[in-house]
Amino acid sequence: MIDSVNRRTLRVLVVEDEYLIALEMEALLEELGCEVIGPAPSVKKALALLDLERPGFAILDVNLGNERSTPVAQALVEMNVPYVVATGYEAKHLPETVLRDAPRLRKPLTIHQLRRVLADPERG
Amino acid sequence: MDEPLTQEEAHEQRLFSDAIMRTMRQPLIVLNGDLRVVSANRAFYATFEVSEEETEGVPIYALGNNQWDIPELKRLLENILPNDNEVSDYKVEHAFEQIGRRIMLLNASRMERPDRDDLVLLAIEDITEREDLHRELVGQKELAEKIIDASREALLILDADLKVHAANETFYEFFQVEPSETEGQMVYDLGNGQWDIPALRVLLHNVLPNNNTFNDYEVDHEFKDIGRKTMILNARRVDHLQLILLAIEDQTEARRAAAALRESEEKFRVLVESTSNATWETDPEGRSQGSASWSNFTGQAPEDVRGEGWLEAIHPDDRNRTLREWQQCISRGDRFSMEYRLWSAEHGWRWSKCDASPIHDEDGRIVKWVGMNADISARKEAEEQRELLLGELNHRVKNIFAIIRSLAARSNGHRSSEDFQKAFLGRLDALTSAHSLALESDWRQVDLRRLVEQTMRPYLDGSSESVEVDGPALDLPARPALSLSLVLHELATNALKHGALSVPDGKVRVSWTISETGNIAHFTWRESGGPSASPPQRHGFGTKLVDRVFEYELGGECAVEYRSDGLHLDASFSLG
Repeated sequence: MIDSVNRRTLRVLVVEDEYLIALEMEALLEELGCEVIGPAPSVKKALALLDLERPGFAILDVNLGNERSTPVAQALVEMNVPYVVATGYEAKHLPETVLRDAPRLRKPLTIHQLRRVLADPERG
Repeated sequence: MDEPLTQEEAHEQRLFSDAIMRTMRQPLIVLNGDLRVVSANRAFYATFEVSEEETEGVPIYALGNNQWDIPELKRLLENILPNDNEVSDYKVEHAFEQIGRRIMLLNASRMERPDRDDLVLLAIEDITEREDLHRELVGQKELAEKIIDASREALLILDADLKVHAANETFYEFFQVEPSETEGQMVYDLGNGQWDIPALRVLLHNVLPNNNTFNDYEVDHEFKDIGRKTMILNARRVDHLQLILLAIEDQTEARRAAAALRESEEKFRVLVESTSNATWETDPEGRSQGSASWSNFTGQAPEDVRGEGWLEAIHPDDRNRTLREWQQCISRGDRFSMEYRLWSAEHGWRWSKCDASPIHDEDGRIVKWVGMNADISARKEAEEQRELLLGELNHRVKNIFAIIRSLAARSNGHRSSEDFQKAFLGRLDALTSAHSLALESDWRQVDLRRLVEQTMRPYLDGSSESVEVDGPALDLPARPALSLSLVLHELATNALKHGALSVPDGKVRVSWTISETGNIAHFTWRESGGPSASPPQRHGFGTKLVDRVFEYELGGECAVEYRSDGLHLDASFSLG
């Protein structure tokens, strides 16, 4: 369960390899009163950030350059951190259950989508 | 008048005539006036299988249980002979009980005797066999003529001197000539010399006299009236009749059809071979009989292809569905068409399109299946490429909208809508021109110099000397290039507002180098001659972008210094 936005600032890990998109997500999340961890462009960077702290929530892009964000999703599952997967066309047939079964957000993200998913992260 | 014979002379005469009668091979019978047998010769007894005892003294009609009661004989003896004395070649046909049907030629002579009744000498010639032979001959002749006429081959019957004795209907029809202009003509003169065929001359003059037949001699000849014909000639010399039978078989159509068939087969063979890697056949149950071209393509030994061995050359992931589909087609008798990966001895796994159809006999039963495999790897690759491009395009369109959205959102916070518009459109223009550069290379890479020059162009107007660009050829991946264009735009806008480009003598030098090892690039932005630079009061979109894009998208690092002689940016990132 996410800590209430009102009680404490929610820290959200953003994993997204395209900087301009990441900046936009960061801006939107800040508008919603969250703090962004990252953004991280790669699995390696994301895992390094997870070593430092346990986020309250995470938004994962599926394809990070030549890799998938699967190991990050696995780490989040282990850390019991709720997350959503932001998908484009490429996520139609995801082989990895940690990505396939996660709640999804259609790109491009809007502030309404983000507000809804933060209110009820299980629904996506 | 004859002198009367002496007793001695008469006796001698009698002995003589008896001897003649006995030795004659022809049955002879002597009858007295009331037509009783006086005597008969040995030939008579033998021919009619009767004995002397049951013959002599018996009326002729009563001979052999009245077998000789023949109406024709009665007419001869009772009506004709009394008037004529001599009758020759009187033909009588009669079915005898014992010896069967006989045809006889009777010669009768009446001998008048003074003071005594007349004697009748009856010579019987049995011509049954001769007549039968004759009839058979007539029949044979008729048969031969009918065969000749009914023959679908043109037949010419030539005399020994090569004049046409006869020809059959087929001949007249085929060569479009009339019997009247044919019979009696020299063969070479037929149809105004159209039959003067050198090959035929050789055959008739040289071959036939020595061999008395020639067989299947092919002649090609251009006839004036009926055009070019290919004929098969067969000839027989009928020596007993001094005739030559010449049979002419028209092969023109058959040859043309055979040539057309060969051509058509060749055409299909070339077509199939040029579009396929392998062709093959199976029995009606779909079992392969081996295929040289299949073996050639897959490297399978011919015996390994047989039955269902060919499946081994199909990719393990495609094997089951291929077999299932194939078996369904076999059981339904349907056409088979599917795509699967096939092992190529030369190129490894290749996508192959397999098409097969059943061949039916006249009763509609499947006698075999024929099939071919065509390499469709190029098409498959193109399809995959298209799929990939489509997805990539979709992705890019979504991203570009997200980015534009982000630019619009981040360009906010300006005092007036005019400023907002200027800031937003400036960023959008920078992005657009970088996008065009990326598209030029199919979204693969962007030349850094062109990117810098194009992004800086709006700031070069009238003062091209104020911006200096210098660096070796360097290709950036497309996506970081887009971000870099925005960085350049932010730096240029800032320079124009607060930095080196805000004064007439200010200069900006944009340069880059590549390390000796070739894998690290150093990028610098140096402002000089302008006002002293100071760090921004707040970390807006532009500042964040400049600070982190090298790290984020190129895995590099970047440092910005705000110095008294202007802003300095130093970045480095790895290549490739």
